[in-house]
Amino acid sequence: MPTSPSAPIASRRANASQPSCWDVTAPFFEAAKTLGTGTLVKDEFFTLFEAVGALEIMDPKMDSGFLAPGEDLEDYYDVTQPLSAQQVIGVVDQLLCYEMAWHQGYPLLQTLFTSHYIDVLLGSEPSDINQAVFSSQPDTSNDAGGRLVHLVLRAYCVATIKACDFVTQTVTSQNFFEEEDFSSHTYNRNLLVQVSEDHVVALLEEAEGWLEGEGGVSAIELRDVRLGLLSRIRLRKQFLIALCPGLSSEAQVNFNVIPEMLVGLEETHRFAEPVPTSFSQKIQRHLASTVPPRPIINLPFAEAVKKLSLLSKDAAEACRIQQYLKESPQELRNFLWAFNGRKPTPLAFPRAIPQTILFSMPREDWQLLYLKDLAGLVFPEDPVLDPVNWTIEASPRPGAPKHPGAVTAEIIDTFISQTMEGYYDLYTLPCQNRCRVRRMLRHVILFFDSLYNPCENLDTELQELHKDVVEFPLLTWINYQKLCLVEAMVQLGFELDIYLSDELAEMYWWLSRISAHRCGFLENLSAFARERQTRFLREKSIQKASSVEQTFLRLREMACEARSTELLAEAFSIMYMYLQYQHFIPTPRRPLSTAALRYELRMKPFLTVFPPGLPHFDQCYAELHPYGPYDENDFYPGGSDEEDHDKLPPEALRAEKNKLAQEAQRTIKEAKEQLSAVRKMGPGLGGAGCVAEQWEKNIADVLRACVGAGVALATVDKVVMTKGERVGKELSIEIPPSGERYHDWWIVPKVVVKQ
Amino acid sequence: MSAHEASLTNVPELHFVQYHISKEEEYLPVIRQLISKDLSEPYSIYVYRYFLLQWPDLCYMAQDADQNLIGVVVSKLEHHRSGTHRGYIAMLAVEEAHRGKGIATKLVRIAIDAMAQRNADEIVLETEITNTASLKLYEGLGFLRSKRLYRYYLNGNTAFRLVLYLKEGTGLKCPVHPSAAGGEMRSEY
Ligand SMILES: CC(C)(COP(=O)(O)OP(=O)(O)OC[C@H]1O[C@@H](n2cnc3c(N)ncnc32)[C@H](O)[C@@H]1OP(=O)(O)O)[C@@H](O)C(=O)NCCC(=O)NCCS
Repeated sequence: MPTSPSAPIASRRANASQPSCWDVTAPFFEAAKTLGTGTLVKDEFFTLFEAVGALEIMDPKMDSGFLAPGEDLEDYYDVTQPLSAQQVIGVVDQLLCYEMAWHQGYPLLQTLFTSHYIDVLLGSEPSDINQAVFSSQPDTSNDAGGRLVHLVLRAYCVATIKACDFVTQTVTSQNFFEEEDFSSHTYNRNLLVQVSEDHVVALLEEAEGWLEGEGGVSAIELRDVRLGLLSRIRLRKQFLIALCPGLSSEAQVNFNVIPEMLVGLEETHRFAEPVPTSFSQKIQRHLASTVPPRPIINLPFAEAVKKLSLLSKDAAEACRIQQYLKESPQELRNFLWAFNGRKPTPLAFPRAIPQTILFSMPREDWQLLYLKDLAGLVFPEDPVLDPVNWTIEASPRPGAPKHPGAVTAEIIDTFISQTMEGYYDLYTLPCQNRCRVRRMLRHVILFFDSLYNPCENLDTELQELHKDVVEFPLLTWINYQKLCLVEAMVQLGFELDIYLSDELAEMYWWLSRISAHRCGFLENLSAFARERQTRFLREKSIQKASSVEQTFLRLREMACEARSTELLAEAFSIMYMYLQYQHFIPTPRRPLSTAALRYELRMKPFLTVFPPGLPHFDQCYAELHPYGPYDENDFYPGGSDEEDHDKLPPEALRAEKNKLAQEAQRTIKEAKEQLSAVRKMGPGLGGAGCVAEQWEKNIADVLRACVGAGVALATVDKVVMTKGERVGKELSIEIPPSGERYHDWWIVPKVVVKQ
Repeated sequence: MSAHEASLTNVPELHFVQYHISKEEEYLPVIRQLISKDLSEPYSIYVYRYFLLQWPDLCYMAQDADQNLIGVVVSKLEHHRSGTHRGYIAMLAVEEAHRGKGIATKLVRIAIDAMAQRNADEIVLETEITNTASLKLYEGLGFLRSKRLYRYYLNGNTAFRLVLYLKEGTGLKCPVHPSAAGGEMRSEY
């Protein structure tokens, strides 16, 4: 159970319409007399969430206003006092650490808002830059300490706040975002929303000018210290300009130069002289009185720099999506999935960039994208999608039969409007964090599944008008997407360490079935495209023929890729069956559960989804246990029908089990052949040209997993064959956690030789 | 084997007691103390009372011969908006010096038994992905990991949601009325 919620809970049932008052003291005491000590008076709407958000006054761990004997409510710090240049670097570097901790998901309360400088700047609720000052008395002194604070540090702080404003705006304007990744709470403080970015940039430039000019040179003795400050102000400017919402076309370039600029910060960080008194946890007290005191989050400087560098690289990469908006939908989605798969997963802000760009596309562009998607799979050069269909005017004569083209357009429009929500999700999904992607997949799969009947009906209407189309084209498209999503959900389960080691055989078995299904779809569709291409050639429609050929080649590449997944998953399933039969992966005792109940729980997201259609537990159990139970804790709860393997003598049975190693090896070999074929076709065909490098790396990693699995199997097999039953004394198996594998989705067991 | 028969080694004279509201003054402070030890932020008294007053019969304590509290499990059972009758294990802790002796396993089994008797469909809980002892305990009993919850806890740590089905057909139950309880403290993912 988690501890308190991060935000105070707003009153749910405010009844403001009738402000009548009466004194309840006497009736309250009267009623309270009837209750024993500790009786919970709880209305039925009081939830656990509220209980957890509640505070106990006078408990120092919960009551942020609680004062220890002699303690002051607030720490006093004079923000107008002069600082040395080294101290300014100290404050600035500490602010950067807090800023990056905030980007990582911690609230402002525990990070930037612990700074007295930020507190004072925001406390006066400035509506323009001249009000965003440390002191209402204008700083007329020209001494170094004053300029360093009132110009340099102030410019840095103001720009930091403005950057937070931009980031918050970008992230919270998403279709879908959750506070687990990013805390948007500003505790009723206005992050300089009205202050124009140009003014902030001008202030930074003023500071830059001072540091570069005579003032700075004479004020700051050490040249490197001065340059250190300069590089911080310049970085701040660069970062602010890059973050500016609306994402100019230069955003990519702006983010790209940041990692280099950070070198200047790292080199001069040794001059930083911390000013710990300029930060205080007590500032929380006047910002949020209804949450317990929260610890300040301290990120080391080196880590903060690394985070900012990564964030900038990710943001620059994200901006690249603009180049592909007019390309194929496959290209776009491949881009998004590759982006989401970067390691470590991009933070909330960079992940918001592709969403911002995509969802600022007008609806007509989305429709075009959708039509392209349909054409690429089920309507290659098909009259159904002929743009002419959308230009046919309705006949002015009432009751006149409608033109088939117009009816076709109507059907497609209906389809698009009924399914658009799910279509958007295909793009929103890969913009979430990995854990959420998996959970959101479940909902999107159910949505696509709910479209089965409506699509089937639309297809029936369509097929009455068009004889030469893919069978149930719209349903096929929906089902194909669904299979991709189901496959992704299972694969993310491997990546996120959801499955226990004795579930791996089952999950690879399931993955193999899904991919087989998907492969079947693609083979049918590519055969259709091939036929159509031949027809166009016969009709001498050369241009159309070559367009359909492209579709054909792409579908064939996709089929080949699906087949490689199918085979490799099958191989891994057999490998894990083998390892279980050899007792390398013991079945836990699990006294409170049965295999059938666990199957239902594990497969819950897919129980009702068709296709792929989940086999009954009995079938799954039988396929995964060709030679009976793996060990004494693994037993089939439902009856004990005499099976073939029961008739085998023990020696022969053991020999059969041992043969699984070779079967797995053979299947790995087949999968490798498919993979090599895919690799040869190159990334461009399947629409991964935009992420060619990652595509290559991905295939290379899967191939490494194939090799690794082959070696692991051979090692175990050799010892099994020579040592027989005593193999457990010689070897053990470890399942490497996510991040320590050749490929996150292909778990190769680690064989450990004992002694 | 029922939980009550589960044998415990190396812990002589340990007994298991159900919580009772009438003994709040005696029990609650020590329960709080034991549970707070492993929390970065304490729960308010309301959280304890939320559970203990509504489901006193789903809180069990392990005590030694001198009635000292050695371990405790706190849980609840209600109709969840997913349509299931859901048991939820909210808190579990065993005194450091007595860990690794099967005490938590026994406490959890007693609580689950009680929930099963009251017709629970499933048992659910969350635990940090790095809490090896807790994961081993629950997974050894039959729980599976159903979800990974990124930055679930306030300290930024990630959790697994663990689930145990007690009845066939639980996976097919559908959301009932939207007002039914959510159950966990953060919005359900
Ligand atoms: C989790 C906790 C309750 C376990 O209590 P316990 O009485 O030691 O647990 P048990 O003795 O019943 O052990 C259960 C299983 O976990 C294993 N285990 C216990 N401590 C372990 C550890 N530190 N590392 C690895 N495994 C451990 C035991 O070997 C046992 O597995 P087995 O049956 O396969 O042998 C206890 O460690 C604790 O109080 N932790 C702090 C609070 C907490 O984390 N609560 C759970 C969060 S919801």
